[in-house]
Amino acid sequence: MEQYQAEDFAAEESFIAYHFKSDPEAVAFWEHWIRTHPEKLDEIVAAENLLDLLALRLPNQEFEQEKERLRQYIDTPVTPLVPQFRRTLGLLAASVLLVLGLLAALLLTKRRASVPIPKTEWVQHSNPNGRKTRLTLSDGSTVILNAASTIHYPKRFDSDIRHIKLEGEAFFSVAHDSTKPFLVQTGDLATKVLGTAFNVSAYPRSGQITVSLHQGKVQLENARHQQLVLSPGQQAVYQTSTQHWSRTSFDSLAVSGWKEGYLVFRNADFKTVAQAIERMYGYEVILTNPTPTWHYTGRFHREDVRQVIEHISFSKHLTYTIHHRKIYLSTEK
Amino acid sequence: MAKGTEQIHWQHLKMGDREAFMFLYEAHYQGLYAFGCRVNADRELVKDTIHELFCELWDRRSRLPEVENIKAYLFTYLKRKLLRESQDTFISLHEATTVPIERSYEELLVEMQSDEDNKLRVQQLLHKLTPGQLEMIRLKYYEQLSYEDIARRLQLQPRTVYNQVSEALKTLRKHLQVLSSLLLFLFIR
Repeated sequence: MEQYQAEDFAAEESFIAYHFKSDPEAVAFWEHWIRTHPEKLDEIVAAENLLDLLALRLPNQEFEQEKERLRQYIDTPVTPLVPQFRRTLGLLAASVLLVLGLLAALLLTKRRASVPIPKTEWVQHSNPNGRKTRLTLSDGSTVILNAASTIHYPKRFDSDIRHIKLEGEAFFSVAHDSTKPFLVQTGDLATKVLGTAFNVSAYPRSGQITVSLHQGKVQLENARHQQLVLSPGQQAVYQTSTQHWSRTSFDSLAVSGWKEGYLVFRNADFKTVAQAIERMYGYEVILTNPTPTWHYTGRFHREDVRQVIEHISFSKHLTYTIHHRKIYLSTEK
Repeated sequence: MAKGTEQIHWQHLKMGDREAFMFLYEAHYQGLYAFGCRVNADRELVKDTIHELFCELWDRRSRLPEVENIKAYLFTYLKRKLLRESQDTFISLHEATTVPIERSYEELLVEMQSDEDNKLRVQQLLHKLTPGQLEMIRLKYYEQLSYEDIARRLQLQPRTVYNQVSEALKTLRKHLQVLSSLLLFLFIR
């Protein structure tokens, strides 16, 4: 075997069994052999690459990343998820949710007396970083909930208003029903619609709420009962601290592309880039030394976090290190 | 893996055993990935969908059904999710691409490459193999059969199969070396 080339290793039955971990004996043998023959490492790596290519497997390093992503998911304590409320769910869970719902309702009454509170069972759904979910509501409306977001909605829309509470970001496609307005509550801003498709972004950390309208018509109302009507293609940016809003046009891919796995930056500063990466991939982004202010413009579609960082680093002359789900960025020396 | 062991892990998963869950994940991941790529060539989408599938399994662990064939259950689950995913794509944001459900091994090898340059390179590389060699490579590495099984199937001597496979690997290796820096980048990421 001392004369073996990559192709000889790759053709060897026991080497294949070692690489695909199908035979513990082969694994033990080859791990030992490789340790004791460091001079063959290049050929071994070439052989393993050849095997991954031909077997159409996800390369080991990427697989490890995926495994880590799943581990992180199961280790993140989230409120019990209730994707579809089924009767198989225990009575206990139902009452817990009801209590949660009532609490939310109480909080809402305190903040906004004008919104009628439906006395009904509420469902809560939370997404951790790196995960998005599609939900169907009892009226047939669909909600795509972005990562790091929480939504509360009634199990059934019994009252004369379809009331939803959102923290974070979601894209709504609302089933038309002129008799029952659809109302999305985000902090002290309410977005009221009759039947339409729109995106609401209300991440608490951003200090603003953005409502972007794709189709139909929506009406916004703040705590001071001021109103603003949006037409398709318009978006409202509401500053939560000053309770002021502005109305502009928007780029639909930049705003709602997240639901198809697009990550779009337009003149985004470091904070914006870091938050978006954290939400989409669950990696924390850290600047290790002060860098001159930069703005990044670029578009990614379902790309690996490594590739995203690689692109940004290249164009902004940064270097990066990834370690334990943290990305450290620093200026090139 | 023995069916019995799998069943035990499945039962443990239902009781919330994290280790049993990760065991099933490791045992089935690569199979699901290879299968998923046949349904949808977007490898990042396949990765995301498998991730979601296991997140859902974990969330519903206490309410999972009794399953006779766990592998078949997971494959059907993944296929349904992937098909729904492709129906869900919004036409307004990017044009719908109609993709055939089954692809040949050769097409898969090409499509799994991340960019157009590499696709072209791999395609050219595969043309250097004879159809017989390509089929043997597929049986050996994709179907993961032994040389003896392949020989029986193709009515050849095991030695002949081994020689052909080895010959094909040599060809691939030789040309891979030329573009090794590029492909290495590909493998590493």
